[in-house]
Amino acid sequence: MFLLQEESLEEVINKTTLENPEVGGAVSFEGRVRNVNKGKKVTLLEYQVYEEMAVLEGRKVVEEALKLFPIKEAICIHRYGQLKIGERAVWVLATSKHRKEAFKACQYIIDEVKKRVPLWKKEFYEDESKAWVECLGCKGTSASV
Amino acid sequence: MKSIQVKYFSSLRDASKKDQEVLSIESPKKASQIFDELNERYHFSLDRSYIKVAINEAYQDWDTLLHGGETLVFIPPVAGG
Repeated sequence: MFLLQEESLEEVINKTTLENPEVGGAVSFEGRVRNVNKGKKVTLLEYQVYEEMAVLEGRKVVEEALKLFPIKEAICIHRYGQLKIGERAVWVLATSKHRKEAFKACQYIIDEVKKRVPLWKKEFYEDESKAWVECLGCKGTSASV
Repeated sequence: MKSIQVKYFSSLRDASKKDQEVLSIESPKKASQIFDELNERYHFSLDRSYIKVAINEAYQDWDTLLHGGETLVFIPPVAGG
């Protein structure tokens, strides 16, 4: 399952329960808004999204993880819109019988989401300047890892 | 005359000052050709080598021909996570 939402992720994370008795390992990752990037003090983030394609590409990533690793479930939820420092921007959960597969699947999902899902991040700085975060060292890959 | 819908995001939206627009084409055109024409008009801050192409919500090659009726999006380096 891959979802995009503008609202905080707190509620959905707190409400998620693991009921499959075959699950012995659950690995989650959360990406949070950091207050510094490349030495500049960040005060606010804004995620812009190409929603129609982001949902399709995000679902592909999660489906790939389910095929590549012997896991039970995989979920990824990404926020868009304005986020404050410390807020969760993305949450990934992978569950499996044993921990190793869940760790691998969780890492695969977040890495691929960062490379492929069309979301863009604008940082607002303390000095009132702002800039799109663009990984120009990732020529031809669109990656921003 | 056929039309293509072009959507803009991130720094390309800032440069074009629009979310989207409809382009008319008389004959099939490569995605790269359309980008170069738009770049002349809007002076994007990113070189084509940093950008990917999406046609109808899926990544495609720059050489892909557009015949009309498609949605075309130039994807600057993504930054999710």
